[in-house]
Amino acid sequence: MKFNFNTFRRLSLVLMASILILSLAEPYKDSHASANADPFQGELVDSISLNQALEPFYLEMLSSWQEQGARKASSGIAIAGTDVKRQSDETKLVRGGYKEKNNVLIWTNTAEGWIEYELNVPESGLYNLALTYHPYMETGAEGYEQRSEAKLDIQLDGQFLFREAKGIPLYRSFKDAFPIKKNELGDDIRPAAVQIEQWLQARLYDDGGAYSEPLQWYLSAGKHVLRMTTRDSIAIESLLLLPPKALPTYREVAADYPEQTSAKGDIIRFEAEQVDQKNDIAIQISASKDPAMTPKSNGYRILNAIGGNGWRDGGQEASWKFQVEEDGLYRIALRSLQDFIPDHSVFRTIMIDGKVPFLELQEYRFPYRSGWKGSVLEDEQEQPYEFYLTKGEHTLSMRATFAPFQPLLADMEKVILQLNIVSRELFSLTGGVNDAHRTWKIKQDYPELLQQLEEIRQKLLKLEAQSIAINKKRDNVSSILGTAAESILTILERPNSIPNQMDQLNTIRNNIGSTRAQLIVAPLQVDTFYVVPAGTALPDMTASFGSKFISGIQNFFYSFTRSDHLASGDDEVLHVWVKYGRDYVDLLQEMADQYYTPQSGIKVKVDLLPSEQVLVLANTAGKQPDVALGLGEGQPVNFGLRGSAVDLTQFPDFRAFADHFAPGALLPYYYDGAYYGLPETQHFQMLFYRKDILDSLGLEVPQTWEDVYDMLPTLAQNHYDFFIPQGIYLSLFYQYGATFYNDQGTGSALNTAEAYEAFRNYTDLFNIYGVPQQVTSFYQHFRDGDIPIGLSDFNTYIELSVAAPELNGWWGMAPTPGVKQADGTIVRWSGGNAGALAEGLGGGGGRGDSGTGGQTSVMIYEKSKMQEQSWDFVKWWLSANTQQQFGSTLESYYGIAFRWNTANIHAFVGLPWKQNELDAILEQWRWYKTLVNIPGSYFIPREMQNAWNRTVLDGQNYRSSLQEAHRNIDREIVRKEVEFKVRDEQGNIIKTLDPPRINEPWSGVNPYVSK
Amino acid sequence: MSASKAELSLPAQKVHAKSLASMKQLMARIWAYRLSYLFASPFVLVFLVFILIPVIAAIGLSFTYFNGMEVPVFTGWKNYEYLLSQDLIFLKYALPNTLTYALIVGPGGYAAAFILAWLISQTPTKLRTLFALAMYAPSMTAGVSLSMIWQPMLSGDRLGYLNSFLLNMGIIDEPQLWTLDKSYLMDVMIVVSAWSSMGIGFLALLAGLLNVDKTLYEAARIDGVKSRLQEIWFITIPAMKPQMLFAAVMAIVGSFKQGNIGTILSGRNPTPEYAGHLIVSHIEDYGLIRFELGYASALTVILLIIILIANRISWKLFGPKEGE
Repeated sequence: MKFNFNTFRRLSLVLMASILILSLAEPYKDSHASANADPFQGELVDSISLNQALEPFYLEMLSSWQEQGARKASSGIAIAGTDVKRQSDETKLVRGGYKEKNNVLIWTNTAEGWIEYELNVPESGLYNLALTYHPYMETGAEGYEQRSEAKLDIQLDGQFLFREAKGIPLYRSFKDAFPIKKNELGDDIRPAAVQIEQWLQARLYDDGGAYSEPLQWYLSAGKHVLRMTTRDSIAIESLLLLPPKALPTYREVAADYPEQTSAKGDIIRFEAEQVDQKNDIAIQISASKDPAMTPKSNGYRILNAIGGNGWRDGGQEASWKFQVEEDGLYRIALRSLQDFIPDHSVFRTIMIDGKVPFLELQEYRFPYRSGWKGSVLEDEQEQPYEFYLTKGEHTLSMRATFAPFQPLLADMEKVILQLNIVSRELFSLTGGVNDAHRTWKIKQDYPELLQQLEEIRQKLLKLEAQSIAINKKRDNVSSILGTAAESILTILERPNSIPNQMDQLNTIRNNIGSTRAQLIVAPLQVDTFYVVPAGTALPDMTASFGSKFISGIQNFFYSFTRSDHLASGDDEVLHVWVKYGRDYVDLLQEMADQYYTPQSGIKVKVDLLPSEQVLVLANTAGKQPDVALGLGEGQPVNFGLRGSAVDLTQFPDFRAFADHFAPGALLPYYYDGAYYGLPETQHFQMLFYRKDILDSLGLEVPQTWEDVYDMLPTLAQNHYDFFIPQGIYLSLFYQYGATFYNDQGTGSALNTAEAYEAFRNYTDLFNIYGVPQQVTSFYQHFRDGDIPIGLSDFNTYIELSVAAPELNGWWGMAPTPGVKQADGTIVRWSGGNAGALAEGLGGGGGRGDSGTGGQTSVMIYEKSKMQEQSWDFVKWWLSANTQQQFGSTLESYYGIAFRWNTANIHAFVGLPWKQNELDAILEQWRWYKTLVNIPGSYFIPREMQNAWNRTVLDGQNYRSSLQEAHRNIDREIVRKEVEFKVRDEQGNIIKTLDPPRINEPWSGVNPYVSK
Repeated sequence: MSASKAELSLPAQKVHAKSLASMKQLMARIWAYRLSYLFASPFVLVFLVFILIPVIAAIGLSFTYFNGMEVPVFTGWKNYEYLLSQDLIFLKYALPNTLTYALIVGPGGYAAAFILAWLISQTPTKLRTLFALAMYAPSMTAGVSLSMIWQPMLSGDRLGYLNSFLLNMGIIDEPQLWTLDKSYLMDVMIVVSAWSSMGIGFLALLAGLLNVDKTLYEAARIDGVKSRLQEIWFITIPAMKPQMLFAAVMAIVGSFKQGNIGTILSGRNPTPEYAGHLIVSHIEDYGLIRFELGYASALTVILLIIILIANRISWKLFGPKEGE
């Protein structure tokens, strides 16, 4: 075999050489001819027209309306919520009373649905849309309380007028359950957030806080149809068209203040952590050890501030109540921390009694300042603003926004698009090959290219200046923009080497894209507010050096009194060992203290488990927790087999509880009638594709493997590749109807006709269709564009969302290709990470080929003295409420990089997915099926990889290769089954394992799928 | 010495009383040197806790069935029987692979270390430190950092440095899977190990080279040594025998102890078609993946024996001879 392979290699080498010689004999002519005919301009137009598929920004739409002379409307109209003209599903609508109001529309959804209203607009003009609504409070059959805001997509006459018309948030309101309790260490326990039941009237803002004003919609006089689409539930009393408000400036407002009204009296002080209302649970109260904090920490964890990284997304609003003793003029000061992003300014919309008092507070800037500092609300000339407050109770609210940066972001997106086009043109010019020996005459042949780059450079310089103007200071963003402009200048200096500088252009593009993440967040942490009578001096708000020094020393010594180790053993506290990162562990401990212990009376101690190896070693040493979380999908059965894990079926409500999960996700925990674990997170394989590249090649997203085979030649002709990981065999075997074990679960079943067919298809992808055999980083290739489509797991989704902002909107996610059945349905079985079964405790088995990670699992220890309580805790932890809250809190703290891929479908759909992403994932979820774990099953991934090697690399016939794998797996399974008394010493079967068979897609996803 | 001679000359019936007396004397002497035991104790304790007891425990466990969770069950020689009669992977891959690997990486790495150390010792002092550090640094990389460095180099797509270079040179016409192809993996493992083998043994050699008395060379030159090679052979090597022995033991024993390098490079555990399967990886396979710690212990005992033999050979070759 090897010999043949080598001769083939040698032959092709000779062939290559002769082609080279032939092509040298006819120099340049060919390439020039084709180059001159290259429709550079033509393709450019194509690519731009593609951009039109994305709706324009609101900003652009508004200015075009204003250019056309549209003015703000002078009056509004109201439509009753019950007045729905058309709807997607009548059964979802109830007209009746809700929370003390009669005759409202109660609209309940689990999947996407829509309703339509007819608007009779009296005059042409710009309107704000507003809703009088009540957040839907009822818990469903799952006992699941929705805590994230409802999101609406709004179409007018069948069109989204602008991009921001999608995902409009209808916020809920929350308050913290004061007073704050302490734990036995003397630390504060963060109070639970409780929803406030109230009817709200709100003008509709964009999602994310890109604009500090409510959105304006241009409506001509006459009849219009307004469609709202959502997958959340909501009660609507009325829909309003309101004329947009115009804000006065401070000068105008100040001129109207009553004269001689300087208030006397004391400074009014209120703590920011005593928040009255907040519209997002992510705005959490937090602890800081700065010595001038109120209240002071003294080495404990005292909750004495609010916000920080949890209060950085646009639209998040918090408000506080305070009492004014005397009418008069006041100044407002606050003690805050704004050093989360170096040199970067953040903005807040500041409101008093629900209204922005004057224009300057619409987007009030908090400049970067290191450490906790006091500041007073003031204008750019550092003259403090004065507010006229009457005697009585007032509300101060602050809403995060990044509106001033929005024009910058919109322009930046255009520059990135232009760079994308240039680099794609270059790619098709060079075929992705960096040929140093080829001579280009760029100036002569491709003058447009130089023009484009020069144009980009000019735009970048403009953006740089603009960003400094907004931020009032040079920061990371302006430096990146400046550097990018400089790099392009360097490239332009040697035009003929541009085709060899693709990488450079990609890097520039990625750098520009990376600034987005910084621009769209506005973290701010606040300690205390002061309302100061106009004549009185401001209080001192900064800690002195001396006090900082002393408190630093104090905190150092306090730190020794903390205990932080894997605790186990006593009977009163439930010990939970968790194999996730420190952030996860802390949050879980906090949520357990906050919600679980008060409700159940069971104390919980959560500890970080550094590696699974520790579990076995600790077990041997006689130490073990009650519950372990975050284990690989193979571990629960590994422990269960050896009598160390609890069979969960012994709990009477196990069956009912397990129904919440896809049956395919339970497979790895099954052994001989028992279930030793439950899934926490799932591991998906999804199809990722670049919309722009597939579009320019005229390719569709493949649905079946046949489609994949059909598109591969086109991709190859254009020097693109398709990425298929080697670990895909599990999906293919299931899709072609093969199974890994025989029906009794006592041996391998890889010698069936279906298995051979699946294996042939699997290896043909690499052997015949030329799919790359090894790709180090699909993400990087995808980003660069040379592998525009491929199968990958959830990590790629996160990487692309977080680290490839320049591709924002240019890539999509679809279910994996499947196999079409006779009845036309496409079978898409996939899921889990078979490699993780082989991982053992040494680790490393699941890397690379099948993607990192896998399903993570919960397990209860057999030696635990608190098994009942453990089960209760597991049920609490895996419940939709806890999972959803855990997921959204984690994400609001640390960003989308911490997206919690929960296995609980009710919680999963509650995370901030885009509808099309969710649709794709739900379709795949239906087909979720992992591998059953029987003794010896760790041999399957290993032997499948070896079989792949034999057929793809060594050229062995696929049949004999799979046969060998089958024999080896079977031998190992038999050996292991003797060890576990499934067979006797002679290998005769004593009992059967009967692994569950799943042949039907899971219907549990149906309620969430949009029709 | 004189005291014991006196004892020997005493009549037999007094031996008992005398031996009691000598016991007493011994205890007295032990007591007299009591401070020395304090000095020896750190080593003795650490040796006991981390070497001797684990080795005895492993030998004990090798006669049991032990799955890491339940109480070990005594099974006699069963593990060893299985090892010799049924463990095909051990006999077919782990053992030959380990021998090939250790024979090339051990002596090869040793020779390379000596040559490099000698070359570096010839450079001026300031440069010498720099070179020594540059050579020593790779031996400190392990695990993740090792794969970070070598993965881009050996990546199986066109972007891998090696593939990209060879493709450009026209030596290969399609990317090669350096770490997945069974015909390359062992070679790659050997190259990477050699790269990272300039460890403590290398430093010892360098120190030895620098310690050789300069006057010896002058004397030798007068006595008629003509070339550098003769200097090395007649002066340098004999003068640094202790370091030579130390480095040899470190290199050879070290090469047997290597295990996971193939897994790190290929990202597969075990390595593709067991091409880079060494005894240590075999131990991990049974211990941590198959949870058969009893059998894994038996394997470690075998490995211990192999290492002891290799150690003896090193001593034979480089240890102090009779009369030295």
